[in-house]
Amino acid sequence: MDDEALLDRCRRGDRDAFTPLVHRYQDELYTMALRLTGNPADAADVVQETFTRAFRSLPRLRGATVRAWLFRVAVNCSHDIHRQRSRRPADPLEDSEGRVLDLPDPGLGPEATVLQRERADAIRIALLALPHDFRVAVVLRDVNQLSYEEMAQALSVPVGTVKSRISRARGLLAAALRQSPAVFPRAEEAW
Amino acid sequence: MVSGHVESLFSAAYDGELSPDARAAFDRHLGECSACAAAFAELTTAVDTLREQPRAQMPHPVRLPEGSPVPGRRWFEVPARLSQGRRLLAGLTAAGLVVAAAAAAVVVVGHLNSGTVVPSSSSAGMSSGVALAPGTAIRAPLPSPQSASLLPEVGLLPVCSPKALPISKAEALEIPTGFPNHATEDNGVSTGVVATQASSFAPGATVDIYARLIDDSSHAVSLPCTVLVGPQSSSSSPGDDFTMAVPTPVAGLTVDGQPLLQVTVPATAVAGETYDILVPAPDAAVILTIQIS
Ligand SMILES: [Zn+2]
Repeated sequence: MDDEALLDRCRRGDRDAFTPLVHRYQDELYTMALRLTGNPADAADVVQETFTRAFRSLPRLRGATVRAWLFRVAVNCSHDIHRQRSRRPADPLEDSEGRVLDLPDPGLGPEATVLQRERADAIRIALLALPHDFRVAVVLRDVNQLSYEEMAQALSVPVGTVKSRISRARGLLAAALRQSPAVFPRAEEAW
Repeated sequence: MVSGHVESLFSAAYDGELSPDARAAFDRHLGECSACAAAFAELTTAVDTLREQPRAQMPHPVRLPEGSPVPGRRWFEVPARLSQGRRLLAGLTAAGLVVAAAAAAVVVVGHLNSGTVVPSSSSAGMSSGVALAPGTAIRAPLPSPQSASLLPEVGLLPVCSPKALPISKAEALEIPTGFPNHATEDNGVSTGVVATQASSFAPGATVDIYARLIDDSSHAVSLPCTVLVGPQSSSSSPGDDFTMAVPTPVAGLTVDGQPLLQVTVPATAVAGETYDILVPAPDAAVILTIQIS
């Protein structure tokens, strides 16, 4: 059953119609939140909060697609959590001296190679270094593969703004990864 | 960058968004310019690496609130009725009435089923126990295209765009003293606040409304420009006498220096009825209940 049909059932008060939407989108949203926050616990909080808000409001959704709307709520939740975190004295991702802790990427199973783990780490650190709007842009586009139009809905900005943010963000991402041997194996010689 | 380099096209090229001609010129440049070729290869590798990261899995089940996903009131059925209202309002806009209303502090009340529109004057002075600040200019900059673009999603009808207010989210959420009847709704996209000075009004009464919309991502605050007033209906076919009001900020009518809106309770309201004051917000609405006395 497609999103709109489920949404119609939600609008008629059918609680069971909401569960398939959760199952359909929870991992996608969790992955997005994980890339945005860099922290599994925060990412799980974002997903929980997104669906709590959606449960209250989804039946009244108008205009945007369910998917774009869920991403919009999740981006806002991630932003809120990010703001709360930046006010906390100790960032859970860093140790007391401000070094970024080497958390395993929960997206990787035990069979992941050392190189895969190093790449995941490099990506996480590079993303966290991006300004918020650019991090959101590159994550929605290249992690969740939203279309420009879906992104425009999700971020409530014009498509032109979406494209320029993606472009800026990818340039910054490439620059941030440039020194990573896991991503650019011949980084030392080439640069 | 030296002019002629194609760095600005990297992202579009990666997405396959260049036209065939543009792509051919792009490739030609990469063939001749090792700096651009290396930089594009670097960007491609970086973005590919991000895209290859496996999807993560939500570590524990999502807990849903108790009850039904549909809130107690079924206001989402309102837009069906408002398809008439949209035409009505479009007519108003075409006639320039809305502009006139904004200028002259006129409250327009229309009955949707009959299609009649009764503009009625309401002077700033007659309202309220609010301390008026005569001559206080209402700052109402043009809305950003961004906030304007949100409106149609409501399905309720934009007759005008919300006006940006130069105040913080915290200030907006602080219900002014003297407005005890209030409601707040945060749907994850926007937060709406609506408040009135009393919870019961006589038919034909003028109601001062404190209403604010806050964008949850930018925290930008705006003054809504449309409020709907109508009898609460418990049946599945909402009442035909639902009334639409286009309130206006009334010059000088302010609380704590910030503008209020004003609507008129329909004269046809009957004592004992419960009415809803509905403020459309992006993707949702805030509803405040009043009793007719
Ligand atoms: Zn070049």
